[in-house]
Amino acid sequence: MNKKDAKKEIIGLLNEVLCAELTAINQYFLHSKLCAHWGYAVLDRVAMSQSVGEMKHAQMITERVLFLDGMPNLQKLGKVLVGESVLEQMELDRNLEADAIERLNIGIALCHKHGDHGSRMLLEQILSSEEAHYDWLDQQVKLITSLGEANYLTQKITAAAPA
Amino acid sequence: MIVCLCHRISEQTLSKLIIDGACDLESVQKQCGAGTSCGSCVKIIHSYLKILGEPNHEQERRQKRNHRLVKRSVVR
Repeated sequence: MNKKDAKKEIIGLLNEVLCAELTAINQYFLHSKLCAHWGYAVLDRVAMSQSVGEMKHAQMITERVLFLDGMPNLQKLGKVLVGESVLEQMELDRNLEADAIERLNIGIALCHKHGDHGSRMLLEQILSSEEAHYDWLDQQVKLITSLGEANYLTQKITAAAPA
Repeated sequence: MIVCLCHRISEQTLSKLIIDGACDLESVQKQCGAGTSCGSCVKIIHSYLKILGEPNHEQERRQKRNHRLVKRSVVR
């Protein structure tokens, strides 16, 4: 494979990762707002910071695609999977993270194969953040299972009334 | 899970529709509107139809087999 084709393949891969990041931004944002609506202020803040984290990933990928002379596709969006309960939301988010981890690992191997270490380092950085997020979500799902959803959720309410 | 965000159709509503006889995408679309706006949930609706629609197919197959058996016995 010549250099041009390799570059094209990496731009395609980065656009795929970008599509997943944009989907995650929306999914976490909606989950955050739903949690706020239900009164789980702690979960609202966590999900919102995760949504912003995904936005930063999207920014880095967009910049990388432009650096490689490609066009970042911000129009393509995956299916936003919205949970109707906190447990369901966390399970859906965990699935999203698991898919992201798999995609990033494949991408890192591809970048390594083509000798694009800049893109590889970027994907590695995103991977470590996604793994930490997956770990947190998995922990919460396990906590809900062991404590019971109601017991878990009592820890996620703040009593502060609006000023 | 909310399957269709455009029409706010939940997993439960969709499952009930399919179990109650909506056997293809068109009838699901007609009955609840899911999959008629942006179309991003069509793939998921198909997977629900495949999983939950199976017993209906099985029932259909059984009915057809019974019809054949009845026909045979009538011919004999």
